[in-house]
Formats: sequence, structure tokens, C-alpha cells
Amino acid sequence: MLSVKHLKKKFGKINVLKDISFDVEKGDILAIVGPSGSGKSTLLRCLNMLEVPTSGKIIFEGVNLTSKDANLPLVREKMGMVFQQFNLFDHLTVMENLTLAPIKLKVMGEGNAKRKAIELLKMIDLYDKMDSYPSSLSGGQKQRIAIIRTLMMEPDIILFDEPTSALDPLMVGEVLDLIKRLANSNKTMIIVSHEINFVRNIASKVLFLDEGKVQFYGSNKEFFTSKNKYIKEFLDKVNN
Amino acid sequence: MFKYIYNSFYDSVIYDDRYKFILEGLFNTLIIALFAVFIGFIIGIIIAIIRHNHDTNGKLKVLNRIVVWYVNIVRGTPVLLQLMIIYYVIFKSSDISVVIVGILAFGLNSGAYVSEIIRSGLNAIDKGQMEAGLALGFNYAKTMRYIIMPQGVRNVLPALGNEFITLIKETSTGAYIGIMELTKASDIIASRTYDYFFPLIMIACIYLVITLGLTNLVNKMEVKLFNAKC
Repeated sequence: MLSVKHLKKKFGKINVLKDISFDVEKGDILAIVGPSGSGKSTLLRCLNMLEVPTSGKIIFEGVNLTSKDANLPLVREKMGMVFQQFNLFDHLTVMENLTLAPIKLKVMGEGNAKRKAIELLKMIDLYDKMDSYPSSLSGGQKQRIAIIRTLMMEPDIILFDEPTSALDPLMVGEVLDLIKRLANSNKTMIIVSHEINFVRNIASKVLFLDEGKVQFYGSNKEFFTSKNKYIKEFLDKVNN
Repeated sequence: MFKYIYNSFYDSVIYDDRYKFILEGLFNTLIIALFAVFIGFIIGIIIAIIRHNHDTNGKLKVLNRIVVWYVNIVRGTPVLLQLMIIYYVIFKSSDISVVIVGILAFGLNSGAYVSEIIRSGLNAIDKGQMEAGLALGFNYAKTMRYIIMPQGVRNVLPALGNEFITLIKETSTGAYIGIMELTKASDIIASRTYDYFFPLIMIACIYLVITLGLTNLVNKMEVKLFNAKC
């Protein structure tokens, strides 16, 4: 479904990503973990071309995103993204936030979009917030709305960029629960996260990134039972 | 004293229907300011979009250079001089109405200032808003239209209101090329009564009433916008 080949990214003279390759199959839940500054977020942002890679290929559903003639807006409709800072549209109500893209991009009509939005709002128990503005919501509520906003477009894959690191500790749980529900419904996703226990619970594959290099790429079980010194060191650090 | 004021009032306003000058002047002042702010807003938005597109995507290099120069020239020279150049040089041999020249000159002038106001509004928007729009599948133009512009313009509405107030006062320089606006009206009356005191103080009061009224409105808008954000 998604195939990354020899991806490199430089910011000026700094090599942030050095020759990254991996694959994601339908139904996979890939967790990207690693110490701060290892390039995790940059890697994720390269996948939907919010950050333009210096070289390499990203092939998603047969389209090479790094080629000049890739229709990025069309690709992004099928590749949702959830941001650390939620990025809800402040000037729109919750309902408008949810329905803006599907309606304006003609993915569905207004009636269907609203029906779907209501269904999703009920799923996350925020139906009563339909007409509220983002400024009146808590961080956890904002992030859950942001997650269902990407679901509105019925993406084939969802990218999560540290979805809980801007949240109050009390609100982390509700967001992780929602992501877990999506995981159980067989959604394909890539998650950058520091919540190592959460990763252990839901990820099918783990990619361990350090200093811009893939230090480990394999199954959940292999990662958490690895005898590798660096991985053990990393796991010890994040567990404390 | 009282008699002097009464006589002065009578000579300046009542006698020979001189109040008609004031009314015409007030009308032209408001017409010029209104149309100029409208033209300024259109030009300002266009320039702000060109510059934003250049700054975020690196596109429109030539156009960007042109509008940057436009803004520099307009903001770097006196508005009276621009008015004179447009009237005496550009429309030298045409019999175009001075009011239209005024609308054009003040509109072109205001456009440069408005573009900077809107640009600051756009720059103040968190870049996550643009990214969220792009990530949902909007292209740059649609993200600007549905997400960035509405927030940017809303942020600077009070500043745009202040620009309108500034414009109302600036139209007084139109008197120089003979536009029959408020200041010119008082000048004409004074030249007939040989008494400057009353006509000048009177129109000063008229300007004040208009600008203070508008300032009040802008302040109310500011409070409302501030509350809407919290």
C-alpha cells in the first residue's frame, strides 16, 4: 500500500533522514519510535509531502508522491493526518470543521456529510458539541474531533504525529482509546508516539529511528523482546 | 461675543445657502473615502495573496517583486504628491471628474497600506492551519479561500476600520486639486466671508463626529472579535 524507498531529507546541511526504507501493508499499524530529535515527525510529514524529501521515493497506492506530476491534493484525500497541535479550524464550528473538506472537495453531498459527521460525533460522545467552536473545547476533545475530521474523508491510511504529546495527562487516555478503537476496526495507520506502552498494545510493526537512521524495523514482538543494546537502552529510558 | 458667533454662523452657513457647500463637501468626502477603501481592500487582498503565495510556495517571483515595489513607492511618498501626479500628469489632458481622480488616487494609496495590514493578519495565523487544510486534500488556493483568508481578514477587521478612518481625514488633501470635499467647502465659504474661524472649526467638528463615531464602532468590533476567540 505504502512503500518508502531510500528517503533522504536535509535541512540545509543537516541530514535529518538518511536513507529510510520501509513498507506498510493494508491493516498494518506501524509505530515510529525513537528519541527526541531523531527525525520521527519529519519522516511522517514527508509521507504526505508536507515536508518535501531531498531524494527517494514514496509510493502510495501506485503513485510516486515525489514525482512532479503526482496529484498531491487527491492523494492526501486518501491519506489522513492527525497533528500534535490538533489544528482544528478556529473560525468554524465543530460541524463545519468536519464537513468542510468532504463538501468542498465534492467527496459527498451536504446531507450525507452532515449525517456522517453526526454518526462520528455520537461515536466519540461529542454530539452535543456540534455547534461549538474549537476554542471552547478541551485538548482531548479537540484531538478527538481532529481524528474524526480525517475519518470524514474515509482515508485508506491515517498518519498520527504525536497525537497525545500536547495533551494534559488526564486527557491522553480518551484520545488513545479512540485510536485503539480505530486500530481494532482494521484501519491502516502510522503512529509517531512516545507512549511506549500504547505502542506495545496496538502496533503490528515498529520502526525505531535514531539519528535519522532506521535502527530497527520489524514486528512488535521482535522489537519488544530484542536483545539489541540500543533498543534495550531506549526502552529502559522511556519506561522510566 | 455671542453676537459675533451668531453673525459668523449666519454668514458661513445660512446666508446665500452656503450650507449647501458643506453638504456637498460632506457627501464627496464620504463617497471618496467609501469607494477608495473598497478599491484599497480589493488591491490589498490581491497584493497580500501574491506575497503570501510567494513567501510560502516560492512562486510568482516577478509579480511579487512588482507589488513589493508598488507598496514601497506608495508608502514612501506623500499622498498629496501621488494625487498631484495622477491628476496633473496621468490625467493631464482629459476632462475626468476630480472626484473620480480622488477615488482612484486614494484607492491606489490605500491598497498598499491595506495589503500590509492583511499580510500581517495572514502571517499571524498558525501554520498548522495551512497544513491541516493541505493534509485534508485542499490545494493551496482552496486552503487560502476556505481556511486562511477568512481568519486573516477577521483578525484585521479593526485595523481595516482604522484605515477607513485615516482615509476620511486624508481626503482633505483632495482640496489641493480642487475636489469639492469638506475642507475645500470650508475654504470656499471662508473666502467669501473673509472669516476663517467659523468654517474651519465647524468642519473640524464634522470630521471629529465622523471619526469618533467610527472609532467607537471599531472598538466595539474589537471587543466582539476578542470575545469570539476566547
